[in-house]
Amino acid sequence: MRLRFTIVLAALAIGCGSEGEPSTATEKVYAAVDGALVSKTWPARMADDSVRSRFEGGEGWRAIFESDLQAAISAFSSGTDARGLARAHQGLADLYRQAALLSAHATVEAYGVDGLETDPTDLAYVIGVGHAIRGERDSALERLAAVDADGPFGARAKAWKAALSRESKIPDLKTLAAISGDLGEVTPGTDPAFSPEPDASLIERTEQAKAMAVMDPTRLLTRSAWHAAAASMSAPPTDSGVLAQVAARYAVGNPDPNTHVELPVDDAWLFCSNDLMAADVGFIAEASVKGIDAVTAWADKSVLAAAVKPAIIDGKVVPDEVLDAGFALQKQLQAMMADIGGGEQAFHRPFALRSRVAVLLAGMVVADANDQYRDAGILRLNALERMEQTGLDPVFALSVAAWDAGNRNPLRPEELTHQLKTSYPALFATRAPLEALHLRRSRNAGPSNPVH
Amino acid sequence: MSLKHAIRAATGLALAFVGTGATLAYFEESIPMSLNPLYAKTMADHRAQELVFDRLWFNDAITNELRSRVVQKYQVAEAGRAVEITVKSGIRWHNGQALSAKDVCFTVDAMLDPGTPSTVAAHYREFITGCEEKGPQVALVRFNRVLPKPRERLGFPILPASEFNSTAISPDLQFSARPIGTGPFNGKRGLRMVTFDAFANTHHMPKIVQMQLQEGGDPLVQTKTLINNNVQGIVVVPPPQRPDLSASDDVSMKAYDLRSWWYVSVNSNKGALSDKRVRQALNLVLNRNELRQYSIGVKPGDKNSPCEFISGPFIPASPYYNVEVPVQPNANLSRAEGLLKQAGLEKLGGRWHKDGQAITLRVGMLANLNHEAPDLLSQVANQLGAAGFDRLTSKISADEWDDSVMAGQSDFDLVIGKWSFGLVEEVNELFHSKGRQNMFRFASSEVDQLLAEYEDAVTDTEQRDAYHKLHKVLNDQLPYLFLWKLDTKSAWRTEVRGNIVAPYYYFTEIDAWSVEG
Repeated sequence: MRLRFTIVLAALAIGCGSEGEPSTATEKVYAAVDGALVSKTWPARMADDSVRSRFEGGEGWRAIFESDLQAAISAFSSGTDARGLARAHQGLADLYRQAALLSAHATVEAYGVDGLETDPTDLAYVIGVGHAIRGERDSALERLAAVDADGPFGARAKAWKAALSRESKIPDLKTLAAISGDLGEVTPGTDPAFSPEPDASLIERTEQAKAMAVMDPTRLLTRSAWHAAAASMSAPPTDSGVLAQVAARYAVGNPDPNTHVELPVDDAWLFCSNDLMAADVGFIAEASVKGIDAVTAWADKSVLAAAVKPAIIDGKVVPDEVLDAGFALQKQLQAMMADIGGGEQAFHRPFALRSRVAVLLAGMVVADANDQYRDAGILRLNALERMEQTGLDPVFALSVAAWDAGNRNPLRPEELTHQLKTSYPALFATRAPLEALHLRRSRNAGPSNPVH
Repeated sequence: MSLKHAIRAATGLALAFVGTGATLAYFEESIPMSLNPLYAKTMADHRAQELVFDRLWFNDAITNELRSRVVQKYQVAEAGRAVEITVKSGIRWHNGQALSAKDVCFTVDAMLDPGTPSTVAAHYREFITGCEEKGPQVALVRFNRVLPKPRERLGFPILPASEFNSTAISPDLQFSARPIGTGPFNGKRGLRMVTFDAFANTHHMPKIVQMQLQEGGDPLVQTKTLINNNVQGIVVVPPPQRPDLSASDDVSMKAYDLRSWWYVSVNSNKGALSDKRVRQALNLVLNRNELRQYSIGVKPGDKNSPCEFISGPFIPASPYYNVEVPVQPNANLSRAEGLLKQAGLEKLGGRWHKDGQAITLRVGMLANLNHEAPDLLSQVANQLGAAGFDRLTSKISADEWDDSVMAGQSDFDLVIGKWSFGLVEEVNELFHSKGRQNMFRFASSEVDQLLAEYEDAVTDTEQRDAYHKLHKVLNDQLPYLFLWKLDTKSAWRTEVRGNIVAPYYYFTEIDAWSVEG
């Protein structure tokens, strides 16, 4: 059953007599989704005090609400909420995986595509690792083969080559730790210390022979794998399937092509997340590979699939329609929450706003899988802008930064990583290649004056 | 004027021009000074010109892909020292004439003509040597060296040869107010607003019939006018207004990628200010935390602040920013006093004197910045006053800023301003002794040396290191008192669809914009 949900926008008309006085109103009918599905979403259910009480008053859940993963790890470290801790660790695993991808894109673009004769030859190592992270195995092996076996990256290059010759996917924690340095025993509730010391100083082939401080992107992969292991150790054994589906959203490399099933998902995985209900977790995991087919398959059980479905016209995701769908779901949820809670409450809008962002992200995932790169980009940037209202999701922000770096745009990634560096010091490892990308693009750019 | 009257006045102005659903009115920082791209001096100029002209190449606002709307094909020629450009057929100028290779070469020739006093063109003279028409649609642009990625450098807007009698183009031609371009809109600048009428073309099909640029006044009035749907957008929303607009479902806040930093420029050639110690003392007199709190509305410790202190001429996220140079968030009056005394100043009756004369500082601020940082001028003046300096304050009109301050002919001791940058963050023109934008003719051989080091750098490491050193030296010599970077946000009504905001140029993707209803 589809509902038609009517939203009246009080658009002040041209010709009104005094400020704030609407003289006419335009009425717009937005398509919204089945109320039965909407009622299963976490914002709708959290409108009920008894359901919400589990998440109130706890520092860990406050940190999750504020998208502060580092604070969530600390708060959940006492072991009071295993799923909360697992979720926070998984968030950091996603964050550092996206940071590794950001570093990989910036490295390949700056030192590979824009490489200079003056670059140290052993930069081939980080370029090779960059290709490996991007899933470009042959290019990775080619670059790694050019690394001086006796140089500072010789042993690391050998280990990467061995790993890539075994399988083309990103190596496991043990292998990564052997390459970039052990982060210590995986201990849920902790975060390994980060050293800003470079992995090597490579000398530029110029008269000045300046030293370049180089940080191995493998460090970020290792950190990601460490937190993924911590998430796995923290989560109840029954949640292993859920954890795999949750991890799929920000997976790097070749996504899992398998069909997913709807799993029972505890609210600890959903509260304040971009998955609004249990079926959304499976839908997003599947949509990242199957795109529109996944929308069709999941539209009667996933609210995100149902919201995105009308935005698909003639086999294409239409960004403006997705934006409308997001707004409509927000409004529909706000109305439902007011019904459930016996009136409008302050938390309703912030919760409902997250559903709006969730729809944009779902549309983006589907558009990406549907080879609509630019349309997915429009939704990506709109989602980032909407987070102005809900608080910046650091994992998504890093994914945008990685995407930008892949597009050879260093400016937004610089801003985003600068914004996040205090909370996540290990992001410092992304700085050097991003700077290089910026400087190299700037040197080739058209002239520009400072403007007032 | 009361707020209510101000809103009515703004509403009336907006209503006078809104006729169809496809009209879009918006508030700009200021009325553009010139619609001639050779004379863009403000960001409002750049944004407005983006509506009227096509740049030869530009970057896609979403994917960053290098694209062109006017070039059909190109090829690198003469072993990398030239590029042969074939412009598309069928593109019309707003005067009805066809775009041809002649226009491309005319634009190049105009930029190379010493009779064109354009700082924009001056940069192109550094690497373009000429242009030759090889056919009706084919132009060959030559360089003085091999350029690795020539298209990325050729982002200049194309001018119509038919509209000029000579390649020497002066800023005061009628063209600056009523330009002719090949862009999506035909612009006309008036005293209080600029109108842009859609011009359908083979390469542009704008969905908006008319755009109306109005000068934004009081930010509160702008906000109310937007919420009441009497304009559809505000290009620059000051931080204090952002929460109200974010809370509205009828408005979307839009990120605008622009690198802007604020400063107080010091006239280092005037009186006591020529002594570095006095400039350093003034730097210590400023309590930036208070300035930021009272003018921008950001308190110390605010999370995700849009406004961050700086200690040099770059934003903190920039590769050029030297993190080892500390910022000066609070005043240190005792240290300031020590420096002033070392410089030979005396404090008599609570006022600082030099050679028996009380020091009076003439402080100015570009007037339209008062919308983004209300009362900043008086806050700075108050802090100087509290530290023992007499002062005279005045807001500087855009014309006076351009004609007097930037021409190095003003009598100010201190001026408050803001510089904005895109991908290229070069500051050589601001600080080199012969820099074209060195407003008080600050001269330092050490700074000139570092700027030369930057220019001569072979690698990006060398280039970055040169600017890191420059940052440190400028923080010591203080031709500017560096204040903060402030990010820029826009707000648009949700009825405005497809409104992708391009970094720096803003309206690059205007063809996709529409107004619903």
